[in-house]
Amino acid sequence: MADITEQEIEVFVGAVNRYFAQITGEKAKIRSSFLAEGEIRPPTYDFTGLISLSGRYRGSIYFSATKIMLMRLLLAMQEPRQTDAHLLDAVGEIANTLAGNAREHFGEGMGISVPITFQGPSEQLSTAVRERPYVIMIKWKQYEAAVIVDIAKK
Amino acid sequence: MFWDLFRKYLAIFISVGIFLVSSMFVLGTNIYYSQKIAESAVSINLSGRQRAMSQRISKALMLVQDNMLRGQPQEAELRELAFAVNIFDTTIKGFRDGDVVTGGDGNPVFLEQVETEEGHRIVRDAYEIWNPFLIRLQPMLRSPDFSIEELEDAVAYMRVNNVPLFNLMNSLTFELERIADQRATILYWVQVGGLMVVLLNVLYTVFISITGLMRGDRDLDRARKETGEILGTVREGLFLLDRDYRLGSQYSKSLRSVLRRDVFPEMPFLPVLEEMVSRDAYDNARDYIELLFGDRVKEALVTSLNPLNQVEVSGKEGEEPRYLNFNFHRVLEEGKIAHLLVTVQDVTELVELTAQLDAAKGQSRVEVEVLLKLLNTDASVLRQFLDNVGKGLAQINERLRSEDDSEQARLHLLNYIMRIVHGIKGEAAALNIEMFEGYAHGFERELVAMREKGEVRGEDMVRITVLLDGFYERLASITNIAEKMTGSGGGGDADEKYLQTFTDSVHNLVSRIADDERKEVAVVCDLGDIVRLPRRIANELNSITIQLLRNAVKHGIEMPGERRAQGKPAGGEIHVECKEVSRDEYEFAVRDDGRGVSSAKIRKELVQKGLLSEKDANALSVDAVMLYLFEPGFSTAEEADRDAGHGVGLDVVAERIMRLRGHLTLNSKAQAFTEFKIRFSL
Repeated sequence: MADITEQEIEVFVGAVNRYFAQITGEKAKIRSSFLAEGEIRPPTYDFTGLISLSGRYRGSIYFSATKIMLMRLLLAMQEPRQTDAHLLDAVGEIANTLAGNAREHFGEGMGISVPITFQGPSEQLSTAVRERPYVIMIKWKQYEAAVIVDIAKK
Repeated sequence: MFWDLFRKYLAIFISVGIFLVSSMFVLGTNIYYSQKIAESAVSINLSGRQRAMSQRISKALMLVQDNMLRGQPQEAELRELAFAVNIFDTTIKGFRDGDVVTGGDGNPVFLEQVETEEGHRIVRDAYEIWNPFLIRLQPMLRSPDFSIEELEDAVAYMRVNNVPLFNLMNSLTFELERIADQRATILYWVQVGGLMVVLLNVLYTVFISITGLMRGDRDLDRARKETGEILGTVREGLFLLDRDYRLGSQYSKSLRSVLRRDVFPEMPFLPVLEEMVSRDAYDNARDYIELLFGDRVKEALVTSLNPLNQVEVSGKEGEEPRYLNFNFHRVLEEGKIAHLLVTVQDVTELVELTAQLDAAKGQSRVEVEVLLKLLNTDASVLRQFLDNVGKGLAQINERLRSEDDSEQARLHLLNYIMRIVHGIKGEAAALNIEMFEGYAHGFERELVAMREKGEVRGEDMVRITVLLDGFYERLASITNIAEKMTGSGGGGDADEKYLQTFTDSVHNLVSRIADDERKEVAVVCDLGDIVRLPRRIANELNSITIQLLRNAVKHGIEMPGERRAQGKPAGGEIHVECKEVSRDEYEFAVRDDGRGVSSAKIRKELVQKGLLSEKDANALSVDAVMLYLFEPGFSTAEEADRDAGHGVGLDVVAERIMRLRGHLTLNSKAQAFTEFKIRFSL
């Protein structure tokens, strides 16, 4: 059995889904789930929010979404300003939600970094602690985003 | 016990002792000197009376003389003289020896002896005057017929000694007053001294009490502070449990964080425990605590029964389970069990580490097992197998990535994954690699459960991905071992070794399933031509053989008793053959002498599963019925196990035959045989 469970992955995916449900009133769904194995690399879209873990776990979890999805999200939030800075704020907010849920679920013994955000690809995103990071594709309306879980127990 | 108390309160006992002794002394002295002073008052009074009596004697004597000279009666004067002489004489004797005399009021009273030297001297001097005087008075006292000479002699003596006698009595009075003063002074100082002692004693008691109380308060404060520091610092949860199963007023600060619950003094413990642990653990814990509060068993004997040792506790929803250790120790007061001291530790990390250690040990065991198996396996066959597994997993992952999220697509995806996993399971079983076979079986069961729900959710996709990751991990560990072994499996003829491995895998599989099913089955292999085939095709045939052998043993061959009842030998037989029937054209067959395929049973199953109505099922031709055997999800096994029942097997066979572009013929006769014959060309 893998060293992390689907319940642990669900902590992060559920956090994103609930975030969409709370903010927009419309749930996001898991479209698919697979491993970033071999030729298949973790997807990175236009904007990414990432948290890093330390303590009992190491690695990172990030949420990556297309620009159009985030613009649509801001619209749903009735935020008229849609500059790149606002879009980065939006993924940062989601990464904050990931951090909050991680803290609540794993409690003491888990160090969680301050969320960081990127626009476009970043070298930090290519650092994998797992042989095969988990990729969970999220669908909200017709838009897609990805939650990448790349953590391992120490 | 008594001595402990005595030592503890020694100062108080001393203080009370001093008070009692000093009070008794003052009281005794007071009574003594009061009595003495009273006696002094009597003495002073009577001493004063002596002065008066000496004058009354002189006066009476002179009146007797005067009356005698004038010839007048003198009875009254003589009585007065006798009275005064008697009083003076008895009183002076009383002063000398101490005696009962006539008091001032006429009643008898005790007159104490004069006790000072000066007093004695005065009384002695008075006697020297009084005794001759008394002798001279005797004629007048005895009878009225005394002579004038006798009277004049007494008067003459009286005239000379009256004043000295008066002065002596006066001196006696002064001396007695001085003694009385002295006694009063002693009494005064005794009272003052006694009061001072009492006062000092009170001050001493107050001092001792206050210093004792202050020391007690200081000790209490220090003890409280130390207790507070211990309870505030200790990492374990620490509290006392009383006989009503309530917490004490003090507990360690970390108790809240260890229990992850609010804690307050006198909180009932059992409801909290009930909320945290399983029903069984709770019931056992309650009995255990009750046992510890009872006197019948020794604590050390029941420690091993503690049901709350490494007990799993549930947290909030979504939280990982934790493990806590509750240890109970009796606290005795005067030999009776008053409380239980409870320590609580979070041992989650320890339990997890132990589990990881066990898993690592298990993993090592599995690796050794795999290693031993692989030593007897053709390296190329193993490599082929691992290659196949890797490809299969990659295919699954690719489909997981690209599949759309419609319900129909997900159900198809499940069937697709099941076929691949089932194929891996079969190949693993043939190579006797239980680590793979078992994991694939578990994977398959989870997929079946998802399919039976009729709805595949996004969370199920995550679950599949986690299972897939686990499969990858196993593949990596076996690949690692296989790589280390590269070269060691070499030597000998490759074809011969391949054939041997193929044949062995057939025997291994049949033998294991037959053992599981408690059947007797023999396999006859005629597979010589298999080595003429390209390995790719031979491996496909190997996968097909595995599925067909599973079916043959599980469904075809009857139980020994059933076979005997039909006049067959108790042991069944399976033939596996591969022959080149013409140039580049081969025939591969698996034949068993079992009960045959029952079209009626398949029809019944189709109706029961709701796939067809009874009418439609009965309307189908036998050939059409047989085709359902190759449908995904169809099984006639009553119970699913790792060899049959999930409806995966013949669909794998069909798929592989299609890949070979082969042709399958199914022949069967009730209670006689079933034969799968595959014909294909290179």
